[in-house]
Order: sequence, then C-alpha cells, then structure tokens
Amino acid sequence: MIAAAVGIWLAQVSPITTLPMPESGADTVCVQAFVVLPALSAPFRAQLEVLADTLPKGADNYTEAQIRRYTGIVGRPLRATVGPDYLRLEASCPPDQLATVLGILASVLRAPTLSNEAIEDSVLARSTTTPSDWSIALDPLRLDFRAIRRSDLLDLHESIVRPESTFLCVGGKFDPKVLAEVVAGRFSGWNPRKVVGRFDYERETRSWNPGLRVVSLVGPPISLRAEPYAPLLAAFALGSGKGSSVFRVLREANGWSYRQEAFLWPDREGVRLRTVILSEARAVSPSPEEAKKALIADVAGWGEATRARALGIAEAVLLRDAPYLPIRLSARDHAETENLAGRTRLAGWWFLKTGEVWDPQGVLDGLRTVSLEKMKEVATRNLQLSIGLVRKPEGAT
Amino acid sequence: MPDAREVAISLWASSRSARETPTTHGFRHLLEHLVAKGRDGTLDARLESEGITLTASTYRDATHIQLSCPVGKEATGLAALAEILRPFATTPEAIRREVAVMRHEFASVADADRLAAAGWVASFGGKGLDPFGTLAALEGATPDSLRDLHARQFAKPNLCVVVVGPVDLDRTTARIAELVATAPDGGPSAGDPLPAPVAGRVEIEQAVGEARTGFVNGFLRPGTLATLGAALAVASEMGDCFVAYTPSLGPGVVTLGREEQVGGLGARLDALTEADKATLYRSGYDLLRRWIDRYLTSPSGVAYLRGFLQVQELGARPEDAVGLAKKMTFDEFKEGLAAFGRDRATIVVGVRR
Repeated sequence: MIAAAVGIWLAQVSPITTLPMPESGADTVCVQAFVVLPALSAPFRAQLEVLADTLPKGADNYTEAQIRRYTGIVGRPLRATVGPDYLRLEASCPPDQLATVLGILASVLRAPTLSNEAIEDSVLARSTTTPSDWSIALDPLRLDFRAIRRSDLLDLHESIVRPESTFLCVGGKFDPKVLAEVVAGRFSGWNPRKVVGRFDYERETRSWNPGLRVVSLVGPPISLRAEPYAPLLAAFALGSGKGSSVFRVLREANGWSYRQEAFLWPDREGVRLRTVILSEARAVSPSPEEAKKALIADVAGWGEATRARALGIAEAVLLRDAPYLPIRLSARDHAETENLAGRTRLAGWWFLKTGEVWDPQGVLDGLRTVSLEKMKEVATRNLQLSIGLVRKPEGAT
Repeated sequence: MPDAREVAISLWASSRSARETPTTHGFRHLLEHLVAKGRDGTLDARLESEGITLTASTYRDATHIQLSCPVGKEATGLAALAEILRPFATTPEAIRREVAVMRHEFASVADADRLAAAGWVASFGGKGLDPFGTLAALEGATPDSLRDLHARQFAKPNLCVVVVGPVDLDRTTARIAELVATAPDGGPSAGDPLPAPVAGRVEIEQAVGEARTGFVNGFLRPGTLATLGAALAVASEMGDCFVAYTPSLGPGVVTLGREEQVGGLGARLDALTEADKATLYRSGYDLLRRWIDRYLTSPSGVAYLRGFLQVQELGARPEDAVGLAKKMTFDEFKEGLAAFGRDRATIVVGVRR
C-alpha cells in the first residue's frame, strides 16, 4: 500500500514538481513523468504519438540499448504514452538503479535523439496499426502519420515538453531525501521556454468494425479540484461492478450489450463522466437517447442500498485493489491500483487533477461524506447534459 | 496468510465430467453466466454491498468462481458459494435473455483472445473446444440440459475450494466440508486426451494482429516454464504484446502475440541472434519468477493457482514451479524461444478485411 506521502517539492526547490509516494513493502521503484498537453489538432496529435514512440529510442546521454537495459530490468522498459490530457513516461527499476533511471528520464525529456530511423519505424508501425475496437470506441480520432518529419517533432517537443509543464510522481522503495537530491541534480538547468500556441482542435474519426455498434454518452467537463468525491462516488454507482446501473439496466434488464462501462474520462479541464456501450451491430441495442433515458430513470430510483453498494465496491477497490476503479487515463490505460506502476500512475494523475495526494483510505473517507442526494444529483446532471454519440457500420440502423 | 488484507475464496469445478461437443459447445460458459447470478439474480449486488467482489471464468479444464472478501466476511463469501452449488434451475426465458447478452460478448471479443483461440484450433483441430462456445450451439441449451450439466460438473469429485487469508482454519475447513457435502456425488469421469499438436499457419479476418503458439506439455514441466519465460521476455522487449497461458497440467500452448500490427513480432522472433537470446534470458529469468511470485504472494493469486492445480491433480503444488524456474538454464530458455520459431509454432495472422 502507498504510505503517506512525505512531501511535494515545488519548483523553487527542484526544477520540476515531484510527488514522492514511498511504499515500504515494494521491491522496485516506479517513476512517472506527466507532461501537460495543450489542445491538439489531429496533425499535432499524430506527431505527438510518434514523439511518444521515439522518445525512448535514445537521448543525448543514453543510447536506446542503454535505456532498454537500465529500465527493462524489472520487465517494464521506459515507455511513453499519450492520453487526452497528458503525455506520460513510465519507467520501473530496482531501487539501486533509481538515480540512473532518473538520469535517463531527464535526458529523454530534455534532449531526445529523435533519430530519423526511429521516426520512420514509428511512422511505419503507426500507419499499419489498427487499434482494438474498444480503443476506437474510446478514442475514435483518425490520425495521419505519413508526412511527419523530424523537424516537426523537434518543434513539438520544444513547445510541449517544458519543465513548468512536467511533473514527476515516484512510487515504491526509495529514500525521499535521496530522491530529492537526485531529481535536483538530474534536472538542474532545465529552464522554462516560450510556449508555441498553435494547436487548434478538429476531429476526423477512424473507420469502424462492421460487427460492432457503440453508443457513447459524454458528460460536460467536471473539475475535481473543488469536489472530487461526489463525481467519483456517482461513477462507482453508475459504472463499477455487476450491481452498477450500467450492468443492471443496459445488460441485465434490456440485453443491449455485454460490455458497458461508465467512468471518469480525462479532459484538459478535469474529467467527464462517460458511458460507453458496445453491442453486436445487428442485435437490439439502444439509441443514445434510449440509453440516457434508461440510466436517468435508474438514477432516480437510487436509494441508500445503491449508495451502500457503491461504497462497498469502492472499499474493495481502494483498500483491496479490486480492479473496478471507474477512472480511465486514456483509451489504453485503465486506472489500476493492484500494482506499483498503476498506483504511481494514478497517484500522479490524481494529484494533477485534484491537488491532493492519493491516499486510498482518505479517498474512501471522502466518498463516505457524499450524501445519496448529492450522488444522485451529480449523476443525473451529467447524464442529462451528456452528448450522445453512436458509431455503427454503414447501413445499420 | 494471516497478515493479508483480504480473504480470497476460489471455487473450482473441473470440466472432466462435462466435456463439450459441437452441439453443446459453450454450455459451460452459459452455465457460468447463469450460476453466478445466484438464487434470485442479485448475488453480485448483494455481495458488492458487503465489499465483496465476485468474478467467474470458464477455462477448458475447469470453471472458476472467485470472491474477494474483506477480512471477517468469509462466511458471507462461503454462503455465496452455497447458492452456486445448490441444484440449478432456470427457465427458457432466462436462457434466451442470457444468450442475447452473449451475442454481444461474442461480437466484442478482444483481438488477443481471437488470435489465441485461432492458434489453438489450428494446432489441435476440433479437440479441446474453446470454452467460449458458439451461438448456434447455445441456442440449443434448455433448462434440463443445463441442470444436468451443473449436476455433473459441480459434483463432489470435481470440486476444489480454496480459502486464503486471515481466517480461523478449523472453522473455515469445517464450513467448506459442509458446503461440499451438499454437492451431488457424481459419476466416473470420461477422459478426452488431446492429439499431438500440429504446427501450421492460419489467417483470420475477425482480428488484427499476429500470434505464435508454442506447444508445451504441462505447467510443472521445465520446458513449459522456459517457453513461458521466453514469451514474457520477448513481450517485455517489444512492448504492446500479450502472452496467453492457462496453467494446465496437460498439453497446451503458450501464445505470444501482438494486437493491432502484423509482421513485427514474427520478424523479431525469426531474427534473434545469440546475443539477443542471452539478453532475453536475463529478463526472462526474472520475469518468469515474478510471474510465479504473483500467484504465491497475494490471496487471490494463491487461491487461483493452487486451486487450479489441485482441481486438475490432487497434490500438484505451485511451489514446485518456483524450483523449476530457478533452475532454468540458458539452453532450456533457448529451447523455449525455439518453440516460437516459424518451423515449430502455429502462426496466426489476423487481417480485418
């Protein structure tokens, strides 16, 4: 379990903000580097995906082989992934390699090689990749990687990866004092740069598996800074476990789907409450309005037993790492608490969204303060204001 | 595990008395869906209100019901198992509704699962049917056929209950004995050995990606663990790969695959140099031990692996795998890598057209 955080070092102490999350029982260390993203149009989003692929392929002070060797010892080599809100780099290592791995991260963030060969490899792989149906359901943006050049990535890197937009979260077995010294040393002299603001937003969506139909309800942005607990408890009640509204209403009562989830989805302004329903294309499945109506009717009938179930499953998730936390970090990252990398990832993300340290017992205590009326009000409002989206094969109704 | 934060309860029901045929293909899967709802269809919600989660899975060798309980609530968990073991009854309407849900499940199977299933079929032909089943067969399920299946599969000789965590051993053991005593006695079990696997190449259109199946002879065999270690090492090196393996004590496969892309994994496997293999051995050795440790250090992991081995063969112990993994030599590891070679493995290529 995550021990109490020992402190957060602000920028005046270290060049970048760092959140230490020591765990005495761990035998490894996990480092997460979050880079805050501006709104990006499809071409820049494509560049960012290639940048993420290319960052671990070498930097000023480390070759790709060295990066792989030092960060691959415990089976999770350095990798960078793109979410709706953050570019995130993750590396794990034995405790005695932490200084080396932080040096690698600093080098990769500050001076990546971005070789033409690595870029070509990424562009080829990306251009021939078909994401899973569920990934496309969550993030249908279609990206064109073909025209990406090294100069594009250098510009994008310079614009986005800056010390003032970078945040570290370190979990596992380490001495926080030593960590502070190493971070200060490895990231010294990394100074803020001018932001290039040119990332307008547009969408073009991917082609869809003809065997499937997806209905999505996307709520308005919710800031978790003022009140993180009511939206989270509403998400537990609506989407977590087999007693959840989406399971009971969409699957059990109506037979509209096998896989249906409701969760908090990252947004640059905070999160959004999203419901995603995956159905066989020719089977009976709901329109967005039907799904919304059915869920709102169910929420209206929530009682203290619903709240008790939501708190019960929240306890299982928060205190015993049951894999039902209704938060997603990207189309590919479900928030996890059952392993160190997942906990460290979640701790960093949670801090950036709420300004609070991830403390499972504290979060559970916070959830317990949310009344039934508040939980219902948050769920109802976000469902009522949600936008309905449907993706289906050509010709399907 | 007296210091654990949870009590894990596993009920395993061997499939040895419930082998499927093309006309009953998926009945065990359907039964799993229905039985996990409990006596009145609300078992999950009732358990979740107590902080207990229930998951149910169907494998070729057995069906698994797993509960994770807060410490002190194991009695509630065991009472849930009593609902699952009681004589099963359902209606044509309940079957129809569940098959309708499973139609959605069939459509949304992950590409990794489709690739792995295709690899098995290509390797073993019609033997060892995929536990998922087919919609055509499921439409033939009746209340009587499922009641009969439940009585055969959830019979005493086929059951294993494992409880792991800070519990009173004597009281819990007595409760488990009471529970199992309520199950039917069961008759003799029919064996259904797999044929020798055949390497080949298959293309499927329902998924995108590639996979290779390495043939193995049972979990507690050195060659199997080396093959698993090799798959874990390559998957870790390449990233975005999956390794599918069910720790069966009989013959089976380790599937190493990659969703979304075609070509990269096979090219890597076929171009490994001796130096690459040495590097992979180091990571494979660690990853294999971590993979096994996962099933020895958490209550749910222990309940899963110990129960799965016991239900297949009384006395089979996960600890034996630790010793085998520690002794894995470089030569054994290279043999494990070779199991994924183009001449030895079944190659699956998924291209959605």
